[in-house]
Amino acid sequence: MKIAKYITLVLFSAFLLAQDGAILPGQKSAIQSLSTAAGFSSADLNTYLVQNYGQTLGGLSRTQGASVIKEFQTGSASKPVAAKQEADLAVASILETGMKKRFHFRDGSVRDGEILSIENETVAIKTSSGTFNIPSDQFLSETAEIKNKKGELFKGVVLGETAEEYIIRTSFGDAVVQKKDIQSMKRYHGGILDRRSEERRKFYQSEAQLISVFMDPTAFPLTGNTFYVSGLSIGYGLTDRFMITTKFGSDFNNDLNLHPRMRFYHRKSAEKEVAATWGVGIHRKYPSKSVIGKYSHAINIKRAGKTTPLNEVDGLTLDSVAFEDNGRRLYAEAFLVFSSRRVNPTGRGKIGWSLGAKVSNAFVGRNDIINEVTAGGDSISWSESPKYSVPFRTWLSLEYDLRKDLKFVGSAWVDNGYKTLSFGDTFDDYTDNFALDSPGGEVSMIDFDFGILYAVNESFRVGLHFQQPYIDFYWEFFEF
Amino acid sequence: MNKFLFSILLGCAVLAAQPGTNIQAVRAIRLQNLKQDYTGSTIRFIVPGSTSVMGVLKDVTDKNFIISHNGSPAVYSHKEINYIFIDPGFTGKLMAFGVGLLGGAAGYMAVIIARENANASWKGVVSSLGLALGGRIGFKTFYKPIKVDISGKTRE
Repeated sequence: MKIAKYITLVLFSAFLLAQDGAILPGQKSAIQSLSTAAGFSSADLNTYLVQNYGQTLGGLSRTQGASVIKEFQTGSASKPVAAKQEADLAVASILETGMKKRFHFRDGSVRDGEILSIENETVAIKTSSGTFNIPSDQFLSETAEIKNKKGELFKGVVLGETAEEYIIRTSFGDAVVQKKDIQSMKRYHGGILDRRSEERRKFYQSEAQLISVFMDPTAFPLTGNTFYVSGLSIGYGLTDRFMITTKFGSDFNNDLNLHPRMRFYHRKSAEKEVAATWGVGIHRKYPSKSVIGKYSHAINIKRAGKTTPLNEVDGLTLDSVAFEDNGRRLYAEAFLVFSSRRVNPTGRGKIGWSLGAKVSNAFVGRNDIINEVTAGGDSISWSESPKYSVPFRTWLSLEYDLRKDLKFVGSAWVDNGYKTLSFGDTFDDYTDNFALDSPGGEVSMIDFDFGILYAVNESFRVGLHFQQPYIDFYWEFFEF
Repeated sequence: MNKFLFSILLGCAVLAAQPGTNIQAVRAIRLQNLKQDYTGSTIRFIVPGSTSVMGVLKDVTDKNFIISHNGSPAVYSHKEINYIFIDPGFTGKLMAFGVGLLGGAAGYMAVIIARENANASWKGVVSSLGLALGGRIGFKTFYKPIKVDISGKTRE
């Protein structure tokens, strides 16, 4: 069993690593032959890749490689023109007194500062390290390509940036693009894509937009026409405010289930987004043993006048407590969650929180799913304690963008059915039926967890934290 | 020498003209965005003289806002207005109250779990604290006006 567990872990790790490794040799040769067919010389190809991906051919990732191949195949890759490149690399076309931002220079240096004056083509710029007089032809132009959610593409010089908008001077006039409407953005300094400095130091939002933190939903559903697959469930965003998921492990065990979620309140500005969402879950034939397992600490076993919770009694299995060996019934749960996300004042992504509560019908008719006595004559009964009157869970979760591709996530909860499980037990539980429904673990009804979530590429995310399920992974395929 | 001075002056004039041109173009686009995003919503703005005006936005023209006050239209020049506020409505208040209720429920649940025989005082105090804290967070989050910039400013 242990060997099988290690093999699975190694395979899983290899699978995760394989998600966005270095470009494959086959991709390299395909790009070379396609670019030659398109009339690109080797130098043209390198210039094109550096301009558009910030990398030479050898430095591309597998995903980028696929994207380049697609561009050549569709004919959207155009040969870099020397004159145009020279123009792009030339001076910033617009420099004004009072302009305050991050300036990039031809020698590769970068300075945060404010232009104090412009005289005889010499720009006096004040930075925290002092005042410098720099010839205006040393300032690199700052251009951007912005694609909004409607599919419109804007290309031009970045005139300014506020908390809410980018102002772009295009060939046909100025465009003000609201950040909340941006789908993707590429920023260039002197015509070269500046991936690292922009994406790591300052970004509007990270790549992962969470629909849940660990197992708890946020009030932000999947965007419309997005397909979602995780280790436990699959789902689809039918519109921007309505999504549906199903737990496939239960589906394959004859317990067909649906979990629709509806965002009924939403306000969004460039700086802040708030939402409220309700959701329900319906299971056609939910195993009674799962309810008994989850709330085993709420079932009392009375033996020789002494009462002990089921999860602490040795040698008593679920089978000896459950009334029917394969008892199943309709199960429903409902939740309400409020969420907020706002721009981090440091300019690095966003900070968000969610507060939610969930209840279920697990305790309706609960006396009917357990025996009254065990085979050994011990009496079995549900605890009458008020904390076991209604199955509930409330949670407060947090998300914080550390980098564009990395998030810190944390959650604290009050849950009268929660038990902590070791990694090994969680792994066994998951591999048993692709669901987390183990009766084991240590009761911990007020608890917390934290971890990180990494965006491996534009569709795949993997997270690591310190309580079950320990590892999260999912894919989101946009415009599916 | 004269040519040199003339060139400098011309250069300065071109540079000085840039922000001006920019302001008009940017402002026009922002007004267009305002019309597109908030027509039919209740907006608020401060007109010269520090008077606050509130009403349902009906239209935005090149020079004016057309606002509906209790069903009757009124026209206000937006020439000297740089920001518009969209106040949260009754739904915002409900949301804030909802967050408060969840906070109260979380407090109640926490106390019945943490104290085996919690008395009414404990339950009341902790639930009220949860309600107050949740309500405060809710109001700060859901009951706050949105500030929309319609100035021609291109940077902060």
